[in-house]
Amino acid sequence: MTASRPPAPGWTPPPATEADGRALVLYVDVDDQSWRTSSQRLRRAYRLLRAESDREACELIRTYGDDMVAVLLDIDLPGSVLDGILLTRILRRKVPAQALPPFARNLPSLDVPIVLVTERPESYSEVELRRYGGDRVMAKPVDIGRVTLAVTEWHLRR
Amino acid sequence: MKTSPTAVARAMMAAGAHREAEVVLHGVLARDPQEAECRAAMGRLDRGEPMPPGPATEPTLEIVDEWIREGMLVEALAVLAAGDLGGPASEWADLLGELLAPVPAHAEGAFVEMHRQLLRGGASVALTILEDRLRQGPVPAWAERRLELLRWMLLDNARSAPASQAPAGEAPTELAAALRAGLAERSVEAMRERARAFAEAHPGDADAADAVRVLELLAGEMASLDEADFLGAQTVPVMGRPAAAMQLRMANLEGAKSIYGKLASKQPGGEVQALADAVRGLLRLLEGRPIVDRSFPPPPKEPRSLEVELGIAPAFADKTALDEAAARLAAGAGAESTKVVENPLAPFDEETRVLETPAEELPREAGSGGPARFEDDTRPVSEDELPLDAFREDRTVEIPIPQDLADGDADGDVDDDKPTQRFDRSQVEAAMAKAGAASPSSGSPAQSSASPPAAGSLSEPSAPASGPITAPSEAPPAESASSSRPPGGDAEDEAAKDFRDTDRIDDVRSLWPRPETDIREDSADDDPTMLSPETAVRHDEGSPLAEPDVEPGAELGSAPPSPAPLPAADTDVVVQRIQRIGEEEA
Repeated sequence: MTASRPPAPGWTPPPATEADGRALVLYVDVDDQSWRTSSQRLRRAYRLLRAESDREACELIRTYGDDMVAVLLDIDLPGSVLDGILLTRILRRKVPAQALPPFARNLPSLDVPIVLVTERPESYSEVELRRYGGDRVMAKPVDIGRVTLAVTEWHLRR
Repeated sequence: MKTSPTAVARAMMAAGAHREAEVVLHGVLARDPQEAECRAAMGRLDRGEPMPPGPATEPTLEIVDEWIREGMLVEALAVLAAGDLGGPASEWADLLGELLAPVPAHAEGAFVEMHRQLLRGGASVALTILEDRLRQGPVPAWAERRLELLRWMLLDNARSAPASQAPAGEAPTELAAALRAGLAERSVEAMRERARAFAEAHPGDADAADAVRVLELLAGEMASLDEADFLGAQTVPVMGRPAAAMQLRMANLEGAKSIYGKLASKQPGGEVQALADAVRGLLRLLEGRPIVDRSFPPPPKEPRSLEVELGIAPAFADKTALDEAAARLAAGAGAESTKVVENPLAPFDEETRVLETPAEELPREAGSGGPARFEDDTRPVSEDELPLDAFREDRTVEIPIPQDLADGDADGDVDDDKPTQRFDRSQVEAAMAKAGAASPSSGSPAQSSASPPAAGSLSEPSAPASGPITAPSEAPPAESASSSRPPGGDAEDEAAKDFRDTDRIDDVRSLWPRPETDIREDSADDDPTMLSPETAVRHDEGSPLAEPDVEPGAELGSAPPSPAPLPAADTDVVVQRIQRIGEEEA
């Protein structure tokens, strides 16, 4: 695929709809700018559900959890009780039920990769985040290649 | 030369891209779980150890390009995600990310299989699956997009890639040059067109004709598999001919040769073998070598499939020597005319004929309407014809228990240290002579051979029963044999009592008239050759021979089971032999 090769087929992905059929990904992020950039990159292959708070994220997980193929969680969730790391531990059932806020109780178990996104990925130890149940740490805004690679690695490790 | 993924992963690891390097190794193992180098490296990484030392290859766009064309999409994406390689690397990463993205959670089976194949190096198979699914009906927009991407990556890029498969150096023949020009276009069809043109320009060139036939066979295979309906048959073409045909579509002759070769090794002969031979032959033509060496006359051999396809298989002779001889016989004077068979398909069929003898003339059994039997079972039988000796208790011999066996182990095993008792030939024959002279019935085989094997003479019948009498050199001293007899008696008489004539049983076994099933059906009471319960040797409860589970013959190891009782009709034969031996000895 050098410069003499034919160009890659161009494609403008249609706007995401309920009946789109692309793989569903939950994206929990408060930052609008990051969301716009990331969704623009990811919507070529994914249908994104955005949550701006921990409570909203739990509601979407209850509703669409069975259809999700991955979860992207911002580590910093200003205005929420739970941050991305704690939400990851809850989704991986590493927190006792009595220690959970009411809206986070009885969540369905998610058997999908969880990618933690942050503006400062160097501040976190990936080994430590993996111990909490996360699969990868990525810098914002995310791109489709790295997200797909994280999901692919998760599939290959199983 | 193919770039080693492990070497690239080693360089990525050194650059700090640990996770991406691990994905490269995972991708290799997903394609080939037996890849030893990656397996060893992955094992060390899983244990928290560094990768084993070895060569490291810095990742480049050329390596990524090579891997994409070979279907190593996961490894290519991992290299692109590890760092910016410049140029179109970012675009390629997005396209690979889009292509390898998981399908929806509840997608239909064809899409799930397509994604699985993409992750495991089966990009060409995934393309085939998507194309087949598209023929079945409309697919979602994302699936059409992936099909478009796959075609672009595997086919369009493959055709625009340099023809790395052509042999290096100048083409040795004009035909090879023409074929290489077609291969440079990455198209088997282009090779076929060039071969056709060459064959038309050189009508006498047999190699060109072979090349056209081979390429038409391969092009036909590609066309037939394009029309095949795999999903309609509820099967997914994971590997096999579709994958090989996909390699042909990419003009990857080495890949096609590898797949066809594996298939042909599992199913020799047939179409797959012909295709494998065709690809091999095409590679030979590209190297300037003919498919078939015509410089020597072909040896007589079984025609191979490709030779049949090419029409160059050795043909059979029109007439055999037998045909010629038949023709001479048919034409020659004085030849014996062959009898004409009216029904050549079944010349030996028998016809059922009706018995011409009237039924009234057949002899009839008295008192019944059926025909008479040859044996008259109403004839009275004299006492001499019946082997009634076994019922005479006064003639029944009580078998003594050898002292060494009676004092044996509590579990009934024969002590290995004790030698098995055997008889010297002279002793036995003397005993038989005595027995025959005294009373034929007392030593009759019917009586003695019917003795239970658990009797005191446990070892005696077993040893000679397997064949001739033990040679003196192998036998223990006569004292050991006589020591098992009751003390105070005549040694020869006791030997005559103890010895069972099983050493001569082999001589009369060919006369055995009764089937074994008859013997099983006989009860002990009905069989005159069986010892009655009163005459059977009784063992003390402490005796090892009294154990019901112990098979004495088996305890001895080498001893076969004791012979079944002889029928009464044969006892006379045995007795006569014993008598004859006794007379000879006398």
